[in-house]
Amino acid sequence: MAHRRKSIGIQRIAAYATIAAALVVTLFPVYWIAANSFKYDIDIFSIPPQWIPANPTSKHYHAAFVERPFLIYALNSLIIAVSTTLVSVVFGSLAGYALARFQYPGRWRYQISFWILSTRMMPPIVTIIPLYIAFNHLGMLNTKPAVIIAYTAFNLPFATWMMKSYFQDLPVELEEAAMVDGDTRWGAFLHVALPLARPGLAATAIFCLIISWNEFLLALILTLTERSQTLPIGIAGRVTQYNTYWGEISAAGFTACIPIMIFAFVVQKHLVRGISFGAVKG
Amino acid sequence: MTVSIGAKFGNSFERWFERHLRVLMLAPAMLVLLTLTIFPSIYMIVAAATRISPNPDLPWQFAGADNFLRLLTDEQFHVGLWNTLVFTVFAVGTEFLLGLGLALLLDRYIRRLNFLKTILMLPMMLPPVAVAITWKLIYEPQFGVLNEIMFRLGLPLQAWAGDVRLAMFSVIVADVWQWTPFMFLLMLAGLASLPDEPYEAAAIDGASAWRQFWDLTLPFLKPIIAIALLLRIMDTLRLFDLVFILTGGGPADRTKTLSLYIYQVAYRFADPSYAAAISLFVLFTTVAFSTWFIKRMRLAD
Amino acid sequence: MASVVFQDVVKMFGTFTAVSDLNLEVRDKEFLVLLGPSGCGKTTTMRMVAGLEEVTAGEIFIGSDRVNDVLPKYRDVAMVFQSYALYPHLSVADNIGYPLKIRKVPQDKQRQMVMEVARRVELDGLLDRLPKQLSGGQRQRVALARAIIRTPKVFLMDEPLSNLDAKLRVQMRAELKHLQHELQVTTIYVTHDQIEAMTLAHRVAVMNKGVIEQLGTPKEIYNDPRTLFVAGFIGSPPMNLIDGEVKDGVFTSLGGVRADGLGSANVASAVLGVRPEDIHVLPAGSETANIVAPIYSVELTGESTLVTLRAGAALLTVRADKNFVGDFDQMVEVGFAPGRVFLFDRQSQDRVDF
Ligand SMILES: Nc1ncnc2c1ncn2[C@@H]1O[C@H](COP(=O)(O)OP(=O)(O)O)[C@@H](O)[C@H]1O
Ligand SMILES: [Mg+2]
Repeated sequence: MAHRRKSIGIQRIAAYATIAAALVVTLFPVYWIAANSFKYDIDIFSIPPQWIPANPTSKHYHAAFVERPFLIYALNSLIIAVSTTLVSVVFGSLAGYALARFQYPGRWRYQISFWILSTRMMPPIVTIIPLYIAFNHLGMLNTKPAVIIAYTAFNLPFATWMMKSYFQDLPVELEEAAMVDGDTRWGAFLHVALPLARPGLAATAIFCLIISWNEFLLALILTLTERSQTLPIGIAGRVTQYNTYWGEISAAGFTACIPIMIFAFVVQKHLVRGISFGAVKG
Repeated sequence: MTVSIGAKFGNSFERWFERHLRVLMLAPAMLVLLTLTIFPSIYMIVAAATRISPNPDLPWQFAGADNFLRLLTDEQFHVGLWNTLVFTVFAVGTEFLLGLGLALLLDRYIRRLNFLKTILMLPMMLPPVAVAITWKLIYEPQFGVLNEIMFRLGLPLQAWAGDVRLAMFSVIVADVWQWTPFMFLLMLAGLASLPDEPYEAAAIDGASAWRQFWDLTLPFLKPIIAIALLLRIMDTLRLFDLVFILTGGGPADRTKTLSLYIYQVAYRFADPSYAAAISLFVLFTTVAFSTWFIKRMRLAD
Repeated sequence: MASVVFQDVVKMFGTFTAVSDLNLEVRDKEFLVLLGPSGCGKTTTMRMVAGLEEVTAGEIFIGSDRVNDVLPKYRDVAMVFQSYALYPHLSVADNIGYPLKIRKVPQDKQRQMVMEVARRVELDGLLDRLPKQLSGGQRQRVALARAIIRTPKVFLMDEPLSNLDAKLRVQMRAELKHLQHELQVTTIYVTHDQIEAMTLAHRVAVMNKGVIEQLGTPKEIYNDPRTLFVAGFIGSPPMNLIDGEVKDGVFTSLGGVRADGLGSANVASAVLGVRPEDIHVLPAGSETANIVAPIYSVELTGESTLVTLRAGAALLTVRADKNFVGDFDQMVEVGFAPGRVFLFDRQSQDRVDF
């Protein structure tokens, strides 16, 4: 008996050690980019590496956001992410509600839902060439609306499915009660279903913001200058064949991570549902 | 105390609106998605079946299956396909095993620690570009952290992402770092939904922990494992941003993925027809694979 | 206040017929109970009145208005849902006042009416709470208050008491009955609980498989069941139904049950129905015994003793005096009260009059 208890204790210690190791491995890269963003170049290149910045400096943040156009990239990212999110969440809520609640002839409801999901599964590299050519024809290359439209193409299916699942979780009697009490179906949607789905709505919006904020490939192809280039594109642009501006991209990269780290805590309850419908990566 | 609602049965607009609500609410999303998917799909099929001249004034020429036949002999394409498959198998496989292992540990020893979970979740939510430059910094041959560790351990220093033998390995490690949390989270959700009774019954029957894992946990988790694998595989099959920044597909094309190759064909070689053909190939195999997988795993129900 | 009329109403879900050919008039100010087993189409019938479910065929009238194509909001009905359907994001006061808010009743009038109704259902003092901070009984009252705040033409109640515990259910039953009497609003009430139906209703419509089997006062339904289904469904414990054969007015079963005085009826596959309270234990050796059978079990309920006898393959329940004593397998002789036996045809399921 004593032996048994001891072995369980050892197991427990091993488990905690593994989890601690996982935490270190998870956090170190994030720490490392943050640490380097506050070092002078000479400290970044030091051998052996300087584990903790000896002379912290905000020089690279100044270089990136004041001397170079990273502030504009960040603003572009923000404008594009917010616009995409607005369109996706509004249209997605409407469609999600319709698919959660209404009857359609035959198996149409199932088929429409499935079709919408399948558009989400399309590899972006497949749709981007035609979109590029279309935007080129319309003179919309290198504009923010073009990026917003392209992002909507894969945020909207996600938002629709998310909202559909949240609406399905609401008891339908609530809207029926509202209708009997004197509301229209539309009124029941606005006054009852939507307010009750608010947590889901917020989670969906945050996921849409994250997807758009992080996206790389479509922006790489559709944008050319700081008129429309986003933060990831700006960062990639400072990784050149000949020189990598480590301090600057660390500063910009870490900045790009900050809103995400905050959002991660906000949506943590919704994460499982979110990633099942494709909340991460385009 | 009777309170009336105005006009007896409402006006005709209201009736029309209510009756067509199911169409009206669906319409905006459907229109946007139809335009953004039908148009590109048609374009891709047309483009893949033609030879587009670099001179925009010249008409497109019908090329039949030429672009697709090129796939058979194009060695670069084969390299891209091979790299993508190798990456998918090793990255997803490792992420799955690590994610499942961690989930089993955490589920058993640390329950209700949302803060810890959120931290472990973080990598998959970070911008892939930021992840890529972080690992680029870690892999840096001269002043990178990894070589410092190798040095301390008395092991030979490596060029990592710049080394022909290690480049793919380096990309996989970075991907594993970012996406193990994905597997971990889904496995954790699956474990949390397991019923208690079968385990109590099995414990009474004298089943060892190992037996319980094989006979109860794995079968229960099977659907969520299948979904997690499917989502991850569909994602790794289109890997782009990580390699674009970390290695640019090099050295010696060792990390060139299909997505990267399509990008090069379309924009560097300015050959949208062939790019369309490869894209359709990718799309078709992805759809075929996921359909087969869904059927195989009986996920439809 | 209005009557509700169903004319040849049919409701299909795909190819499944949930309600078939329903003809029913609910009179003005009447308390009508739809009674039937789960899945028989009660809720569907009620939802068609509210406009939550479209009618596949036939017509529904509320008062003189044909309401088939009228939106729920214009039907002026109020509904109490089985789950209460309280708006979880609104306070009790806002829940009760919701119908007024939709109708744009002035704020102070709203508040006054909410207070009035809340007092009536004894909710004053809880008005600021959220539904999740209430007990089951209190939630039920909120749902009720929300329904009565605007004196609709028709009340619809879908098993409103089924989520309450037994004691509260009895209390709310009395309150409901009183409330309906006071408000004088036509009420359609759905339940699968026959005691609820018997105690509340002016008239009961017994439904089975989408069809109304019998419509009548609780007394009529109990004393004069027209079909085998109604006979078996009403009464607790239910009526004894014994399969057998009737020849020239004499019923015999394989289990040895015998009953005469059935006129001159002849039914090849007959069912004899007799309620437990209409069977009496006779002194041993009685000549009028309808059956002599061993005791299968004895249960004391308090005001009486339920004695189950085994008559061949069938079990027969007898409501005996509370002082009855008997042991397992002891032989007992029982007799049916004259004029209290019913005869049904197994084939058509209908009553056979004699
Ligand atoms: N929306 C629906 N779609 C398909 N079948 C339904 C639907 N609503 C009810 N039904 C079916 O119709 C029958 C009657 O249902 P209901 O009216 O709810 O019965 P109850 O008498 O228990 O209230 C049931 O068999 C039920 O399965
Ligand atoms: Mg029901």
